[in-house]
Amino acid sequence: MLSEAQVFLRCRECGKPFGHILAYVCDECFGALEASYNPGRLSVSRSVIEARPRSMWRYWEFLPLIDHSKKVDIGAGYTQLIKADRLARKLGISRLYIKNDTVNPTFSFKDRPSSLAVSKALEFGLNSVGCASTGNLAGATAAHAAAAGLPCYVFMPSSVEKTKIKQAALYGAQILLVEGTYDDANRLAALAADRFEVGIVNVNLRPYYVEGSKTMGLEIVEQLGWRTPDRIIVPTASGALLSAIYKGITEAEHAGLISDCSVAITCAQPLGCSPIVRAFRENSDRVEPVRQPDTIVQSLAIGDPGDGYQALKVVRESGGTAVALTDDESLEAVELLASTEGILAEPGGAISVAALKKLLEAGEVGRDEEVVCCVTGSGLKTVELHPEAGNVRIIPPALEAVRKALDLR
Amino acid sequence: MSPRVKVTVTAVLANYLGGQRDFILEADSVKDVIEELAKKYGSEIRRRLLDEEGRLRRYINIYVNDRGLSHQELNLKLKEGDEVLILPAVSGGLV
Repeated sequence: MLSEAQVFLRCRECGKPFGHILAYVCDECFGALEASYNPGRLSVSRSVIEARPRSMWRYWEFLPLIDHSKKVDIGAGYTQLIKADRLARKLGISRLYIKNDTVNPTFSFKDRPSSLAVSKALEFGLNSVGCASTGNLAGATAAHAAAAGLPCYVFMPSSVEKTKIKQAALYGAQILLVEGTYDDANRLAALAADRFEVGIVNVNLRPYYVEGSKTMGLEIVEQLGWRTPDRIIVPTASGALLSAIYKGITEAEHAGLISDCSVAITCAQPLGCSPIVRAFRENSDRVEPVRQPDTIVQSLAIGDPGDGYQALKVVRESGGTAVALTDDESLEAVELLASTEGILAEPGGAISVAALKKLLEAGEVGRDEEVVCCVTGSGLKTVELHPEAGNVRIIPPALEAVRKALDLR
Repeated sequence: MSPRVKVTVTAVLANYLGGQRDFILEADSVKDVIEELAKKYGSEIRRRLLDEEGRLRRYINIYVNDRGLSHQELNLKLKEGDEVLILPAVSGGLV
């Protein structure tokens, strides 16, 4: 069990240390706070981790929960890393893996940070939780709140896919559909966190919340036999997942679990909302917000990315790249991934596959590289985005009709 | 006479404003809002919001009637009844 002194917050910009407190912004420079750990806490071996239950909590030394009796665990994490040979052949690359986070309890990777953030809410003695969401976080927070017995308040733009709204509502959350963009919903959530005693997981619990996503990076290196691939491609909205994956991998190196944390972290965003890609491609240090995201990829439609600067820094430092994809490219990637590997992703999840295809064609990724595409959310929530499939037909109940329809002999 | 506007900040900024989070001020522009706050509560707030060249710091977002201002819009003219919100930029979703 970690003692309180082993976990603290620190300003990512000016380095000012804070205690183990409920805060998210530095009072000196207003930079983001991030969780830090005292050296020595990571004296955990590969074999100890490998012997633990298959969940994100097997890496608990890397997570900032102190009182483990407050853990809210409905099974997030330790998803499969699938060797995607059929898809690899289609794309013309020799070694490709899919990190399949569509199979989490609420069908997206957001169960990882939500599990941690709701646990921290209990630890801090908060009486309710909430989130600003583009859809997936709503379900994840609502489900973990239900399991923790806490009321949950969700702020979402009204344009979010209906399935995601219904999913969160079924877990019992109060849903507020904001007439505006995600950034409008997020601003409201930030004000709610400021004025009321509620733990908004991605606002005032954010420094703890983002740590949950590190487990995706930790799992990737463990599942590859405690080593990094050449490249990890990450669907990106706020930039927090991308940054967290890299943080997890660098911490694994500090802990001696891997010998080298080199990996090219690559950012994939929809063209209609790609502020981080734009800054990268224009060699700019400024992540200019997109006022009106224009994409059907709702889960990545964050115009003003909270961790945009950090994500940009990680992509550059790690030797990665950043690429924007049209909506059609993401939709096609959904079909390609489903039809080759049997994994049904939402466009915001399969965008990593679309990115790989585009980067291979452009020669920006080598065909001999070992690549992991993170697939972050299930396509069952977004089937409404796809046109009626041509391979669906209505037939009379007669064998002849089967023969005719399928051209079987 | 300058228009009266409503100004809202969050707790971390209120540290520099005597703990107050809601204000009614007379100000012609967003820059004036900051100057009025500095006049009333001390110049520290100006230093926290603006850099040495008078530009908005990277981690601060300002909204006028729910519209986020770009970093070049500090001189935007305000109207009677406008609502100005000053927030740390840290927040956002998570992917």
